[in-house]
Amino acid sequence: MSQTPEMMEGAPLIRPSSTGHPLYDTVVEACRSVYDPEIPVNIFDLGLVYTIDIADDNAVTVIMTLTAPGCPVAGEMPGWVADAIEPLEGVKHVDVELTWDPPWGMDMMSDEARLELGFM
Amino acid sequence: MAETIAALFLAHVLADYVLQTRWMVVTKRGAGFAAHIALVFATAVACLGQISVAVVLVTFVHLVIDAAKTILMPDRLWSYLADQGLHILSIVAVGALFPGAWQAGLWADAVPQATPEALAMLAGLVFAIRAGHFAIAVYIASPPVPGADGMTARHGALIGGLERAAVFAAVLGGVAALSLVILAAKAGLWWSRDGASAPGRERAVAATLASFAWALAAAYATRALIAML
Repeated sequence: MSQTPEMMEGAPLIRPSSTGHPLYDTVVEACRSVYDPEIPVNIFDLGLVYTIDIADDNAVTVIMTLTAPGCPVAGEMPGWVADAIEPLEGVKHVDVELTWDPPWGMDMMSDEARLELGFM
Repeated sequence: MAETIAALFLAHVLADYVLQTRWMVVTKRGAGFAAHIALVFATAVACLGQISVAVVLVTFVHLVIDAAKTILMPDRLWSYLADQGLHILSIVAVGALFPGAWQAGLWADAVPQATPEALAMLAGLVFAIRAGHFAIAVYIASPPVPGADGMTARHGALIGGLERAAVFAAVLGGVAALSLVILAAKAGLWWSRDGASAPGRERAVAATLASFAWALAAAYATRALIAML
């Protein structure tokens, strides 16, 4: 039951973020303030945030995942992320989308997260 | 034998579905794995009322199955079903190998006669609700369409849990036909919501059918176990 449109061969699985946008760093910091209450690492370093797309008119679209389908915070996490980004100065509108494609894996964690969780 | 299986089944659902935290899942290739296995051991000790070869064996086999799943299998519905199927099979095997384990434990003489039945029922109910939740989430494997059908992911999961609990209770209560009434009620709920989008509705139908199948399977398996007590 996948509604994912056909992707061109060679297209990246994760859409690139607007890293060059002046708001990018502050949006990332806002994502770093969001935690799953059962995991002591923020969702950005955990690798749950796939794409931060910031349009020219400062509308922010976040594409994120969860550690597993069925994660009990599925209903709430997008709201927490939107609440963290919305008050930032200059941000116009926030849209948070959930995806399971590609599925999250432990290799998506940052080195800091691995260290914090005792992998390194 | 069935008493031992009931106690170990409850220990299993507590360790996998009630007490396991997402930290344990996320770090299942690290510290979380050790913590989870310690939890499996602790729940088996608590439910069977003993530290014995049976408890050590069931913990060891759980470790082997979980390690094999983490290392070898992708996160798919078949791997989830295989993992849980193997866990249940291993519990039945340990029950067959150590049929008197429950009677040798601390609880057998200290608790009312009906306790193993209550343990089996509780374990089956948790398995129907919680294990079913994850099975269905992996099965539909598409994120909710936000707001498309006027319902949030949390509502869908809550209704799913309630319907599995109701179907489970209907079968155990000897009125399995009631589950058809529950299904009809839910179908009525879909059609009454005009705003539902086609993908949202398709997703809800798939999830509901899977949810009913899961609840029925859990209920009949639990009933079979109780019949053996």
